[in-house]
Amino acid sequence: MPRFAEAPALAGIDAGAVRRRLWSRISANLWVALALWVGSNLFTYGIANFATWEGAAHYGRMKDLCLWDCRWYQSIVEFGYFHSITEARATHPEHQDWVAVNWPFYPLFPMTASGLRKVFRLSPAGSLVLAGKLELLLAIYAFLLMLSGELETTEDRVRAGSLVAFNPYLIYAHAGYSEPLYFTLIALSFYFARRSRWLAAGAMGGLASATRVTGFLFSISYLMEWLRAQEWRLSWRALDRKAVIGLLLCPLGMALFMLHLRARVGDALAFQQAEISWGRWLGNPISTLILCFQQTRLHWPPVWAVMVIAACLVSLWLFKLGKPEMGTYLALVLLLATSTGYWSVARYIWWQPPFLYAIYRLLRRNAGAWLIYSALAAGMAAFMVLEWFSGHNFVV
Amino acid sequence: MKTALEWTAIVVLLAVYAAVGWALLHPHVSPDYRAYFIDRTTTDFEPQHYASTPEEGMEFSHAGLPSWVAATRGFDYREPGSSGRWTDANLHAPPGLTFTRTFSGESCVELKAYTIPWLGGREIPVRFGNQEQRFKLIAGGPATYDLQFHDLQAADRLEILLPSGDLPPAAEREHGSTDTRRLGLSVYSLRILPGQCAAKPS
Repeated sequence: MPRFAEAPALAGIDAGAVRRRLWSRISANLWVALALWVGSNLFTYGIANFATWEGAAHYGRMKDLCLWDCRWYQSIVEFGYFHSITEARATHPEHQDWVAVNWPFYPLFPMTASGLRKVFRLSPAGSLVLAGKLELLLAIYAFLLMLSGELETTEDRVRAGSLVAFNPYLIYAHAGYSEPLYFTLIALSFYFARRSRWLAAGAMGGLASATRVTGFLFSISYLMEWLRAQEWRLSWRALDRKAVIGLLLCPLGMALFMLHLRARVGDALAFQQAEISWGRWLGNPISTLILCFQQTRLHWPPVWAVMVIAACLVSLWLFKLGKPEMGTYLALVLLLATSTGYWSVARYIWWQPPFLYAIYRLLRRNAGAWLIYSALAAGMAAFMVLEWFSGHNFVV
Repeated sequence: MKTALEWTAIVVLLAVYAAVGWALLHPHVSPDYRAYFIDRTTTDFEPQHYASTPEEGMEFSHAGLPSWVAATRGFDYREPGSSGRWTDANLHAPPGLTFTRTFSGESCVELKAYTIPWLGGREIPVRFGNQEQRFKLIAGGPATYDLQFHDLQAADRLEILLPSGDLPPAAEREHGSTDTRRLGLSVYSLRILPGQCAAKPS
């Protein structure tokens, strides 16, 4: 019977064609990510050099980009988490009148830097900057993966990837901050969860929760994806144990960090308690926004408040786009970020995969809009690189 | 086998979270850590102490604490260049000092402070050990207040009982300010003198 005789041969051709299509997509994403990553590095290198010509910046080597929070990660790479305030003051004598500790900085990113330090024999600062840059490559690729069902041409991939590679706040990808690693892990978390690959999604979520304080919030999005896959019904008799394990994995990174702090410092919440040294404690996010607009001496807080409001609207729009898990995640991140004040809130917005996904969806409707957005983003990115060396703390 | 592994993983993960719950409920920290980070009654952590006497007093602009003061409560961080330290009602304790020694009998507490404008004219109690005295706040500039305490009995703590419910964030009262602290007094200095307060010249 010809039909059955043909079947095995047809199956072989189909599998091969599928593999070729898959490899073609993987290699296309890889090449685009690599090209954009090189471009992002050249951009930052160029603008940083401009800062030395006119801005009196000190930039001679890659490690000179390690400033502000990177220095705290540096202390973790060199000394681990401080056992006590006394140890912290002994390490940083300039902070005698201040209770300055590195507990608020999550461990996974400095761990990746420590690995690079051992392999390449770099300084702690250099290893952190290199780790951030390499993780930017992963972040671009992970974002392309997250959007893989919506990217058809190389042009689509370049545009999507450029949202990461030429982010207005791209300085954080080149200055030894944890943003690129966090972005990678959250993008992969959404990618795997959408495909019901629960263990992988949970593993990525667990790693994200060891990278930044907002990482554990992915547990909620995971639950939403799981419920959606079950058509919003959970059957206890037919419970998918892999999905349960994945859900339990999501906040694991934060849990292990808390246990480590309990053992080292005596307080599982030390990472949160220590924020009061920077005058940051949980408060009312609406009050934060009102304070931003009341600000008359600094210019940036009203800008950040507008960003927050725009991001809130974006999170609602994500619901309309049929991505409630992304909208929920973005909304929760904004809530947490603005509850502790307005400093650093821009990073919480611009290094979120759901936010950049919404920008992609918004801009792909209009080719002209890409040009305008790209010009504004590049301008802001260049400004941030120049100001990075200025000593002004709005860049934090 | 696979089912057993999955259930084992679930049990192990739940055990980790149970351990975290236990860790949260049982911090193992020093009293200084608890006061600074958890209870948030003080913004001094293991301050350095310098030699001084209660008669010489305490200048709040100086780093560290005098040897006769164990800790401060309810005062915000020292601002560089400032003459004093602000009280902040956001901190979970009435502003005051605890001492490394006790005071008994008669003492005169001399307090120099600047009052936030919206507290001017209010009468404020000060509790020193088992005794309490009141004084009227003068707004418009730093003022020195003398408070006479009688029959103190091993007093080791002094508290300024500001009306925390009437202290809004400074940003609500000062246009353009983003200061979220609930300020009351900026205390410049405090002396504790034995006996009677000196009579003020007329």
